[in-house]
Amino acid sequence: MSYGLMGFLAVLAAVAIWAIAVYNRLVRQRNQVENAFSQIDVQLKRRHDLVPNLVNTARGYLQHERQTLEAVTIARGRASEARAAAAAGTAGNAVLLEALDRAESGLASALGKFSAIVEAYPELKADRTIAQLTEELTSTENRIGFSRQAFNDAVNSFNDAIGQFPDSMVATGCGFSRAGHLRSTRNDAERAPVVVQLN
Amino acid sequence: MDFSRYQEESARTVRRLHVAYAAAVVGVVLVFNAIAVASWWLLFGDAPLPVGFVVINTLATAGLIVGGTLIERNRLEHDAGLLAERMGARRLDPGAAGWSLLERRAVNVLEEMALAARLPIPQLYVLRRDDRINALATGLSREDATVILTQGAIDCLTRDELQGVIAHEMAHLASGDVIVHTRLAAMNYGLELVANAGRAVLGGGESSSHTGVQIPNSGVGMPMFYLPGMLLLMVGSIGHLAALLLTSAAGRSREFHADALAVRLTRDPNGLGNALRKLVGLDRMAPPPSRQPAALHGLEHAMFHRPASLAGEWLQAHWFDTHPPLADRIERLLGSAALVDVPMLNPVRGPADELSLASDLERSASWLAGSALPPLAYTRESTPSPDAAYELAGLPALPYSDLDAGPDLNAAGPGGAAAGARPWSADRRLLVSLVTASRTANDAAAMCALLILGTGPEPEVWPNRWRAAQTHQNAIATGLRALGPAAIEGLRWPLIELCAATLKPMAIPWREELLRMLRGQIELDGRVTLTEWIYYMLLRARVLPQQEAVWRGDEQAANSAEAVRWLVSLLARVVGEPALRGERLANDLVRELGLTRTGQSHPPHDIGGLQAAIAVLRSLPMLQRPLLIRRLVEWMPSESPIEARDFIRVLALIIDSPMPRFAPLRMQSPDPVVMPTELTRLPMNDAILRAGSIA
Repeated sequence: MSYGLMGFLAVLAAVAIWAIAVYNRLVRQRNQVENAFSQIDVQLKRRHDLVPNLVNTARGYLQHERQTLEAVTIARGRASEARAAAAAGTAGNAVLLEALDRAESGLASALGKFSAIVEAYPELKADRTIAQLTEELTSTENRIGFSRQAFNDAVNSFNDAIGQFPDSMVATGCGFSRAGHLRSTRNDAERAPVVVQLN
Repeated sequence: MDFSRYQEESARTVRRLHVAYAAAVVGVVLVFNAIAVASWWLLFGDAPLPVGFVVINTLATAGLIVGGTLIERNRLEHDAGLLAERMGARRLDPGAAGWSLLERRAVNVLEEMALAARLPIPQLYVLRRDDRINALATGLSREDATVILTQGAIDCLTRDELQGVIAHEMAHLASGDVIVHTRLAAMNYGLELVANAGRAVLGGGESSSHTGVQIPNSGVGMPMFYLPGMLLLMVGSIGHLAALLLTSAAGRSREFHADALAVRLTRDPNGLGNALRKLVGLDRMAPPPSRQPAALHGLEHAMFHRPASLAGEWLQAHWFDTHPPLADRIERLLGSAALVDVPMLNPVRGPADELSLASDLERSASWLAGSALPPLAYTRESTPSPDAAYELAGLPALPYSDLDAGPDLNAAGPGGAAAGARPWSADRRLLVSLVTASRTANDAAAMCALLILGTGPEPEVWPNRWRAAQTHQNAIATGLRALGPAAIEGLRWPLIELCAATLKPMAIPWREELLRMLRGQIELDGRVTLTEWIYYMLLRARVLPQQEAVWRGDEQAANSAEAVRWLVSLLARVVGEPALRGERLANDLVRELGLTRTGQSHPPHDIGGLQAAIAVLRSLPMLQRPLLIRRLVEWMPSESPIEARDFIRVLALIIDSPMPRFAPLRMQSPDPVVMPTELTRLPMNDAILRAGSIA
């Protein structure tokens, strides 16, 4: 065997080892993305489970606010369906994420209205169960926020990894595709800059 | 988030620490040898050194330091939870029920931050007895970690601030700083071991803190121990210096890093920044106690904030301090403008901002209702009236109108027809207004006076400068009377606790003056009843800081045997047990506590005897006090009066032992009306203690 052939084989082996290492790293990062996504899913489920409790406890106090309670219930139903659909699809599927995102922000705004109403009813605020549920709701909203943040961080480093040369060659060769971010603002009004009025 | 850069850096720090530690050990050994050889020459002139002199010195010193370090490291790294428990912290178990809302919030915040940092959820421990704001993360690794919070941090911080503090601790965990912290603590322990030994030999009586070994101060004043003691101390101070250098070698930039990482986790510098500002405010307001719980010793550098007085002398505070000054940290987080008006915070253990005052009042009131024996009627299904809303909003003007309306409530009270016919709202309103009254210092003072001195119809004559406190006294007295004597019995303790929470933040001279005035009122009639004594001591223990008493060796053991006997005989008289049974308990106790038996004398049951007994019991060794209290509790007949229970409770409080738990009081009848009064009342005339100073 000639030295040239041996050298060629050595280079080939080195490239193969490098490619395997890159592949493994990308797989690990993709799993991290999936794991981060499933964390969001866990927290969304937590939110959905909390809603019926909240609505039932508040019903006694809020005879005049039936609309709000119904809105919360309906939004929860939609969000649950979207969550089931997104969980069935692959992690980071942009279309499903979009739908889930819309349903969840609907639920979040309904819950926001609900919180505002709770503030206006001192009797309701004084209720121990409601106080507990409100704390859980606050925590859940935070958890969703933080797990989205963690998910986006994971997506970011994954997208960086598959986009950067020369790792991108392995990524395209093995069929890694970019994962979608979660965005919290859905419409143009939300993205508009805040205008402060000073008189 | 990517922590690998920080992890590499802390790994480098650990390596640097090991090198510095090796250098320090060599240095201390060299200095010790130099001193030993020099003193040999001084003592014996030119006589040749004994064989192996240097070798033995070297081995002994190095063995002591390295051995101490290894033992301490084993202790710290064995089990993070165990360490927390040794500090006296209690675990908040996620599965358990029955937490307060604030504890629930702390657990939630911790879980949120673990999510944000993508770390497993650490165990959460709480230091119940610590009102200051502090936090600590320990652990072997990212997976097996513990976060310890003080009760003050849970109670005084808002949700955002708590989030910042916990994020800071999570940052320490994520970046591997905890390893640096525990290694450093172990190394410092080993290096300072020699100095501690020297101090013990010299008779400083310094217990070697967290190991719990109490070194008897046998060497006091004995010249034969003087020289070795001084020698050890001299060598030890070299070790101490080495430990300080080591600590500064570890660097204090880790605190800044952790702050920065915490902001990246929460995406909000205000929470952490405001928590730090609160700390500055608290430090300015009340200087922190100079003593640290013993188990925390050596871990100061790992805490969220190191109180100023712990930093020691100037040199230590500025050059070797483990934490950057708070002002620097705040400036980096919020900019220098944040330092201009640091809020003077009210350290009242109060509702955090998002828990409304209303729900807090309601909760306190329902807690009060549950503490009464039998529990007072208290329901939530109310017909909402406009009044109730005001009342719940905590407006101070309205509640007194309820109290003033006492007479009709009185008619419906336990003295009235049947207990079932009593309108529930009366109790609830009364309780809510009493809680409201306990929120203002003057009214709280008046209420304490009423609870301690009794709610007689004629108002006490107070000195002129306390007029302000008397404005609502009549209303409060009417309200208390409306609850009925049986309910008051059970509510005295909780109500005084509520009032004490309000009184505690007042200036110390004011509190002392209040207690002096109450004492004057108690002693006005030339006698002190046990009731007066119990609740006065409760208020005093809650409102004024207590001094430590130390166990003073053998001659005390004789006294304490006598004190135990005296106490048991008083208790037997109060609960109406035969004297013989009391005697048996006293004998058992004296044997169990290992006290010396002495001839029995019977000092009279007066206030002087009580004070003397308490003073002796307070100097019992730490571990014997809970035993004493437990035996007393077990011995108490189950239908003993509430005041007897409160007596044991207040005893536990004064001698600094954990509060005992009693079996539920056995009632002869659940109906408050037919309950015979002598069952719930102390035989007052019997228990009158002769006049004397309460001190």
